[in-house]
Amino acid sequence: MIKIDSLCKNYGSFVALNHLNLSIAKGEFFGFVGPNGAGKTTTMRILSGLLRADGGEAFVDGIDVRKNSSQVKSKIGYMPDFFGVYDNLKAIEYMEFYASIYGITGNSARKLCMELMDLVNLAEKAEFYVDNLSRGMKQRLCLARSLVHNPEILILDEPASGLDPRARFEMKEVLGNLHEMGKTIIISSHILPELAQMCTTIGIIDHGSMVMKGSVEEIVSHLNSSNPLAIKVLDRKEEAVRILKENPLVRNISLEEKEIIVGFEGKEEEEAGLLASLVAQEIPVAAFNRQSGNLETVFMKVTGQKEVLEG
Amino acid sequence: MKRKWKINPIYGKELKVNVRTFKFALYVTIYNLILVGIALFSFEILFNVAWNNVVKYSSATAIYAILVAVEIAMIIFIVPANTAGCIAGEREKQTLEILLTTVMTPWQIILGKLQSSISMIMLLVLSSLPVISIVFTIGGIGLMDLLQFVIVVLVTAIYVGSMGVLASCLFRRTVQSTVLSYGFIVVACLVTVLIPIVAYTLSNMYYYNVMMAQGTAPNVGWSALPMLLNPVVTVVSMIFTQYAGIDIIQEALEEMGGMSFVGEHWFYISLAVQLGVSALLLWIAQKMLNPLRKIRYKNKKKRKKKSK
Repeated sequence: MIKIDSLCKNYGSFVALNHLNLSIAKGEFFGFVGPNGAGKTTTMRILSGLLRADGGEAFVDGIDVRKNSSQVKSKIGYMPDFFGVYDNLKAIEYMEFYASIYGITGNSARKLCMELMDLVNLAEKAEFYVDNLSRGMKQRLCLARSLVHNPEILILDEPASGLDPRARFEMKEVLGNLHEMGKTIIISSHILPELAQMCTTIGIIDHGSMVMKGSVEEIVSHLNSSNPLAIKVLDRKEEAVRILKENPLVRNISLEEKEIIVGFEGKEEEEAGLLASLVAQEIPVAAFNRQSGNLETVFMKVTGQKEVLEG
Repeated sequence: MKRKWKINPIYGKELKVNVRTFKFALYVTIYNLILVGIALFSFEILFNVAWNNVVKYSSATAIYAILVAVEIAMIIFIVPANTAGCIAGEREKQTLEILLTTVMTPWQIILGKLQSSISMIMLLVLSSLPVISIVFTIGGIGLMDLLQFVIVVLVTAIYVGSMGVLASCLFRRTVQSTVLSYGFIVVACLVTVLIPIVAYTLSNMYYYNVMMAQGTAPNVGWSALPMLLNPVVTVVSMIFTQYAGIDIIQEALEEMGGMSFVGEHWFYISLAVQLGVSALLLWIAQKMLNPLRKIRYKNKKKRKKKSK
């Protein structure tokens, strides 16, 4: 559905996209993750026809975004990370205005707009002036606006930013419904646990390049293999450490109150061998497992950032 | 196949939003009150026997000239203020990006904005036609003259409106674009008049005072060509032709020594030139608005840096 090939974009001397490659299949719910300035918004803006790439190609449903941007725009619903308000316009009028852009007018426009507002749980606010809606409602209205021409792809740039937990939950529910309706969704966010719950695929971008891409489980398990082993022994801790040090795959050992944390780079068979060597010396091993990570720890590890993430 | 005519969505939206505001009703009222005040005052001056002793019916059409001048002056001042914020305002409200991700082309966005500004002005002008029609009670001005006036208003509104639209595309802030659009107005209304005056004065000074020559000074009629861009000159040409039956522009050109064809058809040529310039300004504006345009000057800078 979306194919990005060696996409480049510079802002002066700052490299925003550095030969970015990405492909997203139809019906995917793709989470775009990366630190600030990594190139998420730039990629989304290029796909939406708001920015010209300096190099490389981007295709939406086989259509070149640079050469046929008007065709691409009819397939895309874009929601930026801000919400622009027209003064003196009611929510339903705001929707009807965007419907008229796509040639939908009159009663059919009113019916469609009410359906979409119902989808985002805003039907009862139709006659309210947009200016008087809460931020969460505005965000949902903006989402409904991006659906007015029934696009196949939704590009959402941090749709839940600045929302309270309840509004975030409502937004998540609406997005889940849209995914069930078969829409291909690309979403960028800093709220990683939410992305992990919603997305079928995650792409981690850093310094304008795709660092890692796959399902949440794939990414976490891939990085888990480099996570340390946590071994809990009931007695004879010093002897256990001595045995562990004899293993050439052990890189480092640190002692915690109840566990021995072992930096170990080996496959599952080699892990089993290490456990066997402890058991052979009759060390009372109570627990032996890899420390597991979540998307957040993976993100920190991959991007090498130390910034505190919200969520 | 019958093609359904569709209103520009931006035009439709702006018209709906603007017309239902109290501000617009206030504008129409104040605008017409000013015109009515001027018309009644002029009427009083011209026809009050106690003041003039004689009533000169031939000078009654002066009311028309005054009203037309006031209307055009108002348009020249109001339209740029309206259009200067049309794109910059969308940028400030952060709605422009959303518009640009829809299927609307930059041309459609710009034309919708211009249309809405012009239609508001045309509403003002049409609402004032009964006031201008006061001259029909005396005679001297016909319906065709009034039609000509409406055409001039329309062209002037498009012309100064397109200056405002271009200024709005060039700057991110409404204040900056408003200043620039009034800068365009100053160039069009003042600088273009100064050019032939300076050229004529200098050529006469050089010819008669420096060269000590006699006879006719050299032809500097070409220097009047920039005045084709001046909407005030067009209106003056129209008023004098309608009111006094003389074309002062033609006479001025003859004095400067040439351009007889342009002088004879000054009114129509100037309207055509102003419409042409409007089209050019709007074309540049839509290019500026296109987010996928090539920014050549940046590349030039890069090349310069690389060569260093």
